[in-house]
Amino acid sequence: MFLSLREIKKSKFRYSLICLVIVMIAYLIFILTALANGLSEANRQAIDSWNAEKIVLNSDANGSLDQSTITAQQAKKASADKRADITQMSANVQTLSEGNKVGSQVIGLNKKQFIYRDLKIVKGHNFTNDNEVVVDQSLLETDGYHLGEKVKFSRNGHVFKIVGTVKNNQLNVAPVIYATNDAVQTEKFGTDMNHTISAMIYRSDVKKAVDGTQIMNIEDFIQDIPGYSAQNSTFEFMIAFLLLITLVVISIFLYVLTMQKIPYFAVLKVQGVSNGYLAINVISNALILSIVGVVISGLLTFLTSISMPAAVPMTFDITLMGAVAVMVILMSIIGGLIPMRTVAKIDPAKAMGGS
Amino acid sequence: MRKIELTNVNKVFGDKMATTTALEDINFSANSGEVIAITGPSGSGKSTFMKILGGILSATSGGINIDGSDYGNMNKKQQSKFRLEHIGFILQVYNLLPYLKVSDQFKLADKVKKSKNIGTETFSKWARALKIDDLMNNYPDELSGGQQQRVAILRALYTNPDIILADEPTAALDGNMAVKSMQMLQDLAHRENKTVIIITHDARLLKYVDKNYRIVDGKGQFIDVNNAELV
Ligand SMILES: Nc1ncnc2c1ncn2[C@@H]1O[C@H](COP(=O)(O)OP(=O)(O)O)[C@@H](O)[C@H]1O
Ligand SMILES: [Mg+2]
Repeated sequence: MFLSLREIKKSKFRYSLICLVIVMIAYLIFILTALANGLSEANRQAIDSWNAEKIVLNSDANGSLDQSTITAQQAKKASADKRADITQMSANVQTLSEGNKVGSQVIGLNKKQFIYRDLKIVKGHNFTNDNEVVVDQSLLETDGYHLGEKVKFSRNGHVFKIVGTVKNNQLNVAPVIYATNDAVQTEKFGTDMNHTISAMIYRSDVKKAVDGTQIMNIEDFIQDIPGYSAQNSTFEFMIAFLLLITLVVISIFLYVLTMQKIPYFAVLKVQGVSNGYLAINVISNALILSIVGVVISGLLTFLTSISMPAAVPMTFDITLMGAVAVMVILMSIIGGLIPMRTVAKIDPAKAMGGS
Repeated sequence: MRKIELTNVNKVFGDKMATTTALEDINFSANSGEVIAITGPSGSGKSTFMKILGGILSATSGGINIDGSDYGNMNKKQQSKFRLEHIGFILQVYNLLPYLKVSDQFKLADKVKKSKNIGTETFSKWARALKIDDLMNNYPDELSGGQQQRVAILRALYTNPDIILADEPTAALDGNMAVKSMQMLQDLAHRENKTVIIITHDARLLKYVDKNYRIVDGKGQFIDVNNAELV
């Protein structure tokens, strides 16, 4: 530390430059992490909020809620233990004047079952009849809807009133709108397919599937959301690659610096300073650089998070960010180990002039 | 008391194709309390001799004994530790770290060798004698060559070594300062029983040495101290 701090103080410019590079890379990593996290949540928030274990879909639906139908007979035969029936419909919500269309996920619920009972209403109240809906808060915050507003899902569709909101309830990156199963079924199929739901959600461990249905773990179901896994692995790849870039940048920089310091390290070796002390010097240079870099980029990320409009799907999770910060610092330590061999091999005779 | 002893030391540089014999059958000894000048023409092997003495280079053959221990056969790590505790080097070039202020050059010595360094009183006295007491807040690149060399001399003495090895320490100093630092080293040897070995081309400095070891073409012998023409 002693040597490192003074060295950095004397060569402010070159250390500032490299620190700037680390700040930029770390900032990019932070933002990508927040975006990955935010997008991943926007895909699954609603399902997470149900706190469920299993989902039962039509066995021909290929794990897709959109394509699944469960008939009234199938539903009747299935286990009723801790079960909630849902009817899903992808639809554009719009105001009565047909303005402000927003792609949404409409989910029909049964008022006697747990999803409805456990809805955490943040504004207004839960819906009580077939003419009312509860919507994800983002519809109010970013799309200009308001409590009490009358909405519909198609030109001549039924008119619903927004009576309440829930927080963090998106599905497939669209706001969720909760209504009664009956209302959604009528919107979706007309009156002739009453009582056909999309899926049964379980908080218990259902074992036996009724004919024509398939039981899935909720986590597997989420992994099968179109694009979900691909998106996550793309982000993971980018972040891993950026960490690798951090490692390479820091090790190249420290290597070049170490090469430049060979004559001085040689003097110290003549004076009997151990390889260990010099090694610690290189590592602490790396540590100081990366810690300062991470702190600055952390502050930038924080400023970004408070100035980012709500519509941008970014979630700044402290634990996740902390883990990322530790990774960046870890990379710098590994980067600091690369010039170690050079340090160990410096010949003190180099300091003594002459041939 | 016998401090340093080199017996039949040879140093050959190069590979099988081309070899240079830098030192040939060197027998040398130094006692505590002695100042010894190493003299000889350029390229005769003086620096090589000094490097072997300090464990910076290993000899091709022969024995190096310091304080009764087989220094020549210690491993690099042991030699490094021995240097830290017992040997002060004053080099021709690159003595100071460019990114440390003068005062920090000494603080660094405190970091790497935590005990038995010279006290603050001695430090101040010597800093004044070497006229570097006002330079403590300067970086090496703000000092003249002579000032840098004086800082290097004090840096070598700072760890209170019992052996001081100097390769032309006075080359960058003006006559007055050269004599003054030489007197200081002599004083140190005589009063504190240290061994000072110094390569020099400066005939005026021979007044302050006890012995003159002359190396010519890699062969060395003690000669009359008053034989100044041979420097
Ligand atoms: N590392 C080396 N490799 C090859 N030859 C060397 C090396 N160091 C010194 N020599 C040779 O050894 C001889 C003695 O050099 P040196 O000890 O530096 O002389 P001096 O210090 O007396 O001028 C010279 O011929 C020099 O070329
Ligand atoms: Mg020389």
